[in-house]
Amino acid sequence: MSLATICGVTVLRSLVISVIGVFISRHLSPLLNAGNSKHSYLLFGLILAPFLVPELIVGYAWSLISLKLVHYPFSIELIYSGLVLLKVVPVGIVCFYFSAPTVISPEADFIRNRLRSTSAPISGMKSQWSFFLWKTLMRTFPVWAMLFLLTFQEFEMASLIYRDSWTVWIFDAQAGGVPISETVPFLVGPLLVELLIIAGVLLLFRRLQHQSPLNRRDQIQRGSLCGAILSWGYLLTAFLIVVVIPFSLTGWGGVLSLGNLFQNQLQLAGIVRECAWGLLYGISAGIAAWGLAAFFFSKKQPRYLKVLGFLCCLPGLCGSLTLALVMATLFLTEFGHRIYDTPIALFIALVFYLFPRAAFLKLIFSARWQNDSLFLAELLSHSKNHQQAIKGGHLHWAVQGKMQYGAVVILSFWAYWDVTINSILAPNNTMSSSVRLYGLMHYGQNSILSAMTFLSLCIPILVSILLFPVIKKLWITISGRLNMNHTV
Amino acid sequence: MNQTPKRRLFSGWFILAMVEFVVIGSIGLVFYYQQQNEAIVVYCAHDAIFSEEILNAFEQKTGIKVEPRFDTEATKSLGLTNLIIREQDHPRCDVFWNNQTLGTAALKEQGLLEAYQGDGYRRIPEKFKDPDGYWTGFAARLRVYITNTEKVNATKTSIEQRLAGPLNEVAIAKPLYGTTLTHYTVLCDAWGLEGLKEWHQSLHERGIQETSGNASVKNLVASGACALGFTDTDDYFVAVDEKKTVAALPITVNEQVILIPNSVAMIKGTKKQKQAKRLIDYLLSAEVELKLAQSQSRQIPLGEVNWKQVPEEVREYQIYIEQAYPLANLVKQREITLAWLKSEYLK
Repeated sequence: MSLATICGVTVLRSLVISVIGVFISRHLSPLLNAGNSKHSYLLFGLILAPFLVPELIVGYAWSLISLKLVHYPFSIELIYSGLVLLKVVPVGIVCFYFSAPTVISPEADFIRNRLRSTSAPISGMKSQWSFFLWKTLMRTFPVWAMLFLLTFQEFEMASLIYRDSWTVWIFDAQAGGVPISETVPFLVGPLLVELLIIAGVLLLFRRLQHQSPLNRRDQIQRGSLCGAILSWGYLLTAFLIVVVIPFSLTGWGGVLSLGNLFQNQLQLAGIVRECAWGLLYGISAGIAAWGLAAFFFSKKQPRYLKVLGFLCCLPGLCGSLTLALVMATLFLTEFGHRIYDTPIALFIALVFYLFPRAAFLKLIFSARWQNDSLFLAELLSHSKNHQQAIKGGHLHWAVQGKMQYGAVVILSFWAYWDVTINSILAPNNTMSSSVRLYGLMHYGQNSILSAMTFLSLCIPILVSILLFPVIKKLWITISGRLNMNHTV
Repeated sequence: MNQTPKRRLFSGWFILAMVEFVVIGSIGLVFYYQQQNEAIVVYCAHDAIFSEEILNAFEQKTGIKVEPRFDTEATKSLGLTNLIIREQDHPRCDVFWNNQTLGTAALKEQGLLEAYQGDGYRRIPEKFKDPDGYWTGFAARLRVYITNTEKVNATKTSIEQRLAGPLNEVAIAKPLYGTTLTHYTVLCDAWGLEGLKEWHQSLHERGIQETSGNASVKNLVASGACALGFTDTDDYFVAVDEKKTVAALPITVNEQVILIPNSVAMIKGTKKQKQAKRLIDYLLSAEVELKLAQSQSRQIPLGEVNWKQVPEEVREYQIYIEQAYPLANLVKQREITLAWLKSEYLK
């Protein structure tokens, strides 16, 4: 198949998956609001679990299952698309959950706007259509765009399940020895698609900035019993398909093999060291990408900086393989070779890779920061009354800090599990665990693979859980000092 | 009292990101100076789980530290070959241990290798090494038909019968890379490009299942989804170890088998020639060939070894060493084949 055809197939697939993904995410996000705090962590865990299981594990396990269906390509396509859908829905749910709270309903907002206008009565077809667009399409467009881009860039699962995708095509071209200079023109098509989507989101955000800040999210009605059953049914099914089945297939022996792994000090030290490097790269790149996104896309920044930020998104949108190869080529020039084979090259590539995703999360999350509670939190945190200041800090954390922490964790996780950039740019002695795991999957070393995977998965999750109270305390203590200036 | 928000150019996050850049920069500098140490850098396309053990043994035996960089399925074996090409102005690799020979031979054509004819070179038969000593082959895999014995017997007649009809139960890896590319190159040499094109077209017209790699071919056959496939002995033995109902028969071209050795070469411009030569001699030793024969991948020794120490299932393949198709001079055919395959797959 030609690149143009494959690109078309990927666009079509991404369209279908992202539309269904938005629909599901939108209907599942109220679950998080409804849950009480005691169960909300469990619920969060259940929702995020499919997202947290790395693509390469899911792809590997399901490639073994899909073997039996080799004579039914459509079934394999369904499996692949279904897996991608289940992997991106948690991102959609998080985006909906963290997007701005509703103060007035879209209906009320729409009526208010209509009443101001003398033309077009409310009952008219034009108004109805305009309402439909406003309530549904425009409000879900940013989340849809995020899901579309994630689906469109997917590589590992497509490669393992042997599905047609532009990312796999570019990989084949590279493996076939096509020079970078010839690969770049191939990227024009996919990049145009991505730029079109991002430009649309930017335009929408620009338009929303001129709208009332009261209603950035439409309210899903509290579900019926049937709706709740369906939602829980979906969550459990997703957990089963993306978490339970891959881990069962790679062997429950993995947990048992942990004992063997702990006895083999050399191997244990190796995988822990690789996890530590992966974490170091992931966390540092996650913080840097989020920090840069916060800088470039801050509301206060002049337009030229925002345009620059937009341009910085382009390398990451080319996909991890192309980005890594281009970076490797750049770092092998006369000017860059001194930092080639050092963590700097990898760090820069990971930041570029994460930057568009960070920018997206920033744009989606920042809507929430515009509300009055943030201002109140800032005022409180600078009160001379110590109790009030502490309360302000807590409020500040709840309104802004928690979601920023979540964003950095998500970004770090993406970088931690990246295989391609790590395998191409990481220095020989500081490879991350994802590269080793990917290699082992190819050789089918199931029991040891399961143990290592389990350990590699637990370490970042544990670190993010352990760091949560520490960061919270730091945030509450520091936030007040950084943000405001007292003048009498 | 009046409180006003201060307009700041840089947020806390941005400052944190900048601090990070500085810290990472410092770590990078440390790494840069560390690169000047004595460790020898080996690019290794052979499976990490087997080669790591051999490189560790070399470290213990000689005291020379080895820094391996392994290939992954993410970049295929061509990844390291391409990496050496990209790094040619600033090479960081000292020794290249490839899991095939044609890619290494292509590096010689580009002037990226240094000749070395040591003790190891001398114990390897002529047909498996470069006459000028730029690369040397050792411990080979055999290209085989893998059959699911519940569906097809691993006999020449049954396989030929199966290959003459519809191929929807026959699997082959995408020929753009790996040993399938070597297989295609041999066919191009034997039949000419037109003959190869006809064969390839015929396979696709009859519905052959094309997969991402030889391991997938093995999985398809071992699971019973396909009856027959084209793969290598190392993948076949994985299925055997998994107690699958499979059998293998060597693929022949003009009565010769396709034996694909590992290869080792010294990279031009290495500043650690002394250590590189010791490693090359070690890899080409009988000790390493035996270790690879006894490993899960059951590589076939090419030089003189004590065959009594070689596992029985590998010993069966000893007769094929003499019947191997000569690969040393197929670089041109590989280029022609690859150019055609690119035009087929990368339109």
